Amino acid sequence: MKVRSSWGILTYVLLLVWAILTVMPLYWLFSATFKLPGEAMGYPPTFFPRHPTLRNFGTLLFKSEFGFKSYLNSIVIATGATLISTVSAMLAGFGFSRYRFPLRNQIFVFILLLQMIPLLAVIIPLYKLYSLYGLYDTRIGLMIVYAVRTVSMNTWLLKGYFDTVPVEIEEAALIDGCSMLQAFSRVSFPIAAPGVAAAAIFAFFRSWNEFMIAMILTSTVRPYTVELYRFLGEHGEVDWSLLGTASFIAIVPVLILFSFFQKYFIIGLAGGALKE
Amino acid sequence: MRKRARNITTGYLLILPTVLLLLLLLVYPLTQAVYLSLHEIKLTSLNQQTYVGLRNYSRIFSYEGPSFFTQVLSATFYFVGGSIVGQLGFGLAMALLVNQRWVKGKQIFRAIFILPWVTSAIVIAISWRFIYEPRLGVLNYVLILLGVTDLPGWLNDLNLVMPCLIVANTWHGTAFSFILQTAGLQSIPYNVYEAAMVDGAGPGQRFRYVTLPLMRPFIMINLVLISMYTVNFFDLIYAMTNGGPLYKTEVIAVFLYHQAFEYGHMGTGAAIAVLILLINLILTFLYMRLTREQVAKRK
Repeated sequence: MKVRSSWGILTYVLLLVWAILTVMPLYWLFSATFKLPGEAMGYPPTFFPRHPTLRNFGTLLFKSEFGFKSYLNSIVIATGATLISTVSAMLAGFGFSRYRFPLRNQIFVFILLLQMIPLLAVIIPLYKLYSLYGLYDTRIGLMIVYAVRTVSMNTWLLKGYFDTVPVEIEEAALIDGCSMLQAFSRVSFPIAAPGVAAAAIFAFFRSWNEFMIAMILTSTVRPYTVELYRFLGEHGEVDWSLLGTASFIAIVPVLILFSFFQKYFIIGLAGGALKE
Repeated sequence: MRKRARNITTGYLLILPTVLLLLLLLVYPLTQAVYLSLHEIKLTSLNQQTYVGLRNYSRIFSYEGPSFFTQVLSATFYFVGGSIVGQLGFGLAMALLVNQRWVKGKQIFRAIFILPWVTSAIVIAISWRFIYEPRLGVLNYVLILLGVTDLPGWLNDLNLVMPCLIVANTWHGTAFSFILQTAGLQSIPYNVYEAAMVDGAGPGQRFRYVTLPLMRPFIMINLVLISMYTVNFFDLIYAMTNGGPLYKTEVIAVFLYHQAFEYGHMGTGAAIAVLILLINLILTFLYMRLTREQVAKRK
C-alpha cells in the first residue's frame, strides 16, 4: 500500500507524543529516586538529576520506617497466590478439558461468571470471616483471596490450552506404558506450558499490585502497596525522593517480568477480555 | 462401567480445589453480603447483629453527607463516563495508528503503551499527585514558565479535581483498550481491505465502511469492560483524594469503604455492596449479550 508521506510523518509524531506522555509521569517520579532530597523538593524542578546519587536506596531500606519488610511480604504473598492460583487452575483446566462428568458445562460457566463479581462486593463479609477464623492479618489469608481473583480466568485460559492437545497423543503415551500422571507431565504439560506461563504471570502481577484487600485485611504483614500509601499519608511534608525510591523498587520486578514475558502478559490481558 | 465411574470421580477431584476456593471465598461471602445488608452490625462488635429489614438501604438513600444520588452516584457516573471517553478514544486511536502495516517499531510502541497497565495503582496515584502538587509539581511549574499567574490548586480545586482524576485514570486504562482494540484490528483479514481497494475505496472510505463496522463489537465490549472496571475501582481515588474535597470525588467504592471501615457501619456498607453488585450484574448481562452477538456473527 502506498502511503502519503505527510500522513506517515503525522502517524509517527502522534505515536511518539503518546509514548512520551506514557513515560513522563513515571519518569518524573523515578528521577526523584536519583536526586538528593533537597533537589527533588527544591525549586525549580530539574529534569535530569544534577548530582545522580544512590543514597536514597540506603536511606529508605535501612534508615527509614519503610524498610524492606513490606517488599518481603509482597514477594511471599504474591508467590504463594501465584502457586495456589496456577496449580488449582491447571488441575481444573485439565479436568474440564479431559473428563466428562455430570454438570460439567454448568460448573464451568458458573466459574466464568464468578469472575464478574468484584471483591469489593464481598470485602465486608470477608473481613468478618477473616476476623472470626483467625485469617485476619496473615499472609496465607491474603494468598488465598488473591488466588480467588485470578483462578477463574486462569482455569478458562488453561482449559483452552489443554483443549489444543490431542487426546490421541496422551492415549499413545498410555499405551506405551506411561501412567496418567506421566502422560500429563511429559506430554500434555509441555504443550500447555505457554498457557501455564501466562497464567502464572497474570496471577503474580495482579497479586503484586493489589492494594484495597490488603489494606482492609492486614495490619502488620502489610505488602508494599499498603506501606506506600501509609508512607504517603502519614508524613505532613511528603518526602518525594524517598517515595520515588520506594515506588521504583516496587516497579522493577514487574518491569523485568514484563520485558522478558511481554507476549504472555498480553495473552493474560487480552484473553480475559475476549473469552466467549 | 467401572472405568466411567472412576473417570467421573477423577474429574470432580481435579476441579475440587478451584471450586472450593471460589465457594468459600466468593460465593459464601456473597450470600453473607446480602444477609448482612439486612442487619445492623458494627465494626467494633462483629458478633452482634440485629435484623433491621431494609433500614440500611433507606439510610443510604436518605444520607446527607454525602447524598447518595446527587453526590455519590453523580461522582461515579462522572468518573466512569470521563474514563470511558478518554480510555476508549486514545486506546482506539493508538491501536489504529500502530497497526498500520508500514509502521516500524510496533513492538517498542506496544511495550511502552502497556506500561501504565502493569503499574500498581498506588504508584500511579503517587506519581500523579507529584505532578499535580501545587507548590512542587511540574504542572504548575510549566504554567509559571508560560507566564500564568493565577495557579490552580488541581486536586484541591472543587471543579478541577474530577477532571484531574479522569486524566490519571485515562493514562492508566488506555493501555487496556489499546490491547483489546489491537486484538480487534488483528482479527480483520487483510484481504477485506484489498477487496475494498480493488473496488476503488480510499483510506477514508476504507476506515468508514470496513474498519469501523468490523470493530464495532470490540468497541462495545470494551465500553462495558471499562465501565465494570471503573465502577469497582477504589485504589486510585482513595490514594489521590480519599473522596474529597467536599465529597466531590466520593465515588461508590470509596463511599462503601468510608461507611464500613471508617464509620464502622458494616450493615450499611454491605447494603452499598449489594447495590454495587446490582450494577455489575447489569453490566455482566450486557457483556454476555455482546459477546454472544459477536460469536453469532462469526459463524
